[in-house]
Amino acid sequence: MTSGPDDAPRQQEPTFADVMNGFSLDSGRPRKRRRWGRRRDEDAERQEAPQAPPPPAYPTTPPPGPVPNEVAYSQGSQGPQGDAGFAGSGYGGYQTGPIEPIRDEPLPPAVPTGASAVRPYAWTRGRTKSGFDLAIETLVSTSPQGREQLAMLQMEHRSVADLCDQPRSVAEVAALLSIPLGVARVLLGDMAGLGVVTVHQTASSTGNEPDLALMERVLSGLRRL
Amino acid sequence: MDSVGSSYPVGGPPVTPAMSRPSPAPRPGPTPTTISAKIVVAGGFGVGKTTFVGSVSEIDPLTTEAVMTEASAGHDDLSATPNKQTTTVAMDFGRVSLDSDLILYLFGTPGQHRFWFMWDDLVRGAIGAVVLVDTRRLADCFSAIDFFEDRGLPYVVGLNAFDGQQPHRVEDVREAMSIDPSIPIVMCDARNRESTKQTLIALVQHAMAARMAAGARR
Repeated sequence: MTSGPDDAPRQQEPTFADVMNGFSLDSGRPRKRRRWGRRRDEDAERQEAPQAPPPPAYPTTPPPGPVPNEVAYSQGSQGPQGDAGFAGSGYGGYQTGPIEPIRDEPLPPAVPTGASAVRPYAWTRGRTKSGFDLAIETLVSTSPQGREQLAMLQMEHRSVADLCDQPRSVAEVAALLSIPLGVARVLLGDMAGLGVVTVHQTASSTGNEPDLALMERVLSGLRRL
Repeated sequence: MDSVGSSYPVGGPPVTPAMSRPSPAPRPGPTPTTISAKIVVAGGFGVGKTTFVGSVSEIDPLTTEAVMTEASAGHDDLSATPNKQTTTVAMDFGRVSLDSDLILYLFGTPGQHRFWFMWDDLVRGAIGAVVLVDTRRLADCFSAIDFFEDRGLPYVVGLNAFDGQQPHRVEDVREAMSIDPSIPIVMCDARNRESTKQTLIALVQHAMAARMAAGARR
């Protein structure tokens, strides 16, 4: 610790070990449930564990970067900087606890879903139900009104309106925009409510089952293929 | 908003294919005329559902996803991947335009049992279902057949010929699976468009017959 050039790598080592330690604590836990209870146990173990070398300045506080949630649980009042430290000192104790498990999940790269970087349910502001009864095969198309207002529509609605220039099913909208079916339903329900898209009939619009005349048309259509 | 219709340019350039039907002038206000119908394609994992859909679909089969969270509780073993909060249910489907105003969708069911919460959605309003069967793995399709019988959805059984082989006779399979004589069992080759077409025709005919029989009983 005395020579200058050796100093830098020597100091990096505990930090790196700490990062690895933080990962294994998170990803090595066998169950999702009981996270709340276990976390505190782990935290206690962690502070006694020999592999977690305390940084020289703050003996009980792990470095703020890679494992921010640990700070809030261990000693909130000592958190030197960062939002976790602020939450701990500002609101005291475990009041922020229930939020933490959600906050720590997005950190690992566990978001394998499609194209959108935005969480899909942000598009729907958290709603999961649509005002319209939309089956997966229900066709929607952009209405003349929607086409006129295209430039004024909000982003999500605009991409749907672009797509539905020709009639497309709810399932197609979901697949082509890489959004879950439920999100597409809510979006399309909103747009139908605004009159931006037109909802077409399905075979079962009149009742719960398709009627005979329509089945006859499907049959002759298949024969013509 | 009455002005919307009249202000729309008559014969203006942005006419979509859907609106270019021989109607002389664009009508004020939307008049939805395109009707969609759907048929469900079910069967065990790897039995050829997507191939079946793709052989007749005018688009490459698309995949739609429903993100599953709570529904997976107690079913998904997440111990190996504790950071994984959600499981994605994929559902393949294809589209066949049968007429200028009639589109048929074919939906392949998500195979695993735990995705059955999606099946209700799939089955609602469907004309019927094709249950694809691999004769080497008969048991894989029992759950699908039970489901459709429970919901009263008309279905036909399609024996998919793997490597072009049909090692069993239809009647043997019917007996082995104890399928009611009223349910059609057809030989098919999921890769072949004509074969898929005939299977779908058999289903629609069966569904119509079932409907008429039900109507006569009422």
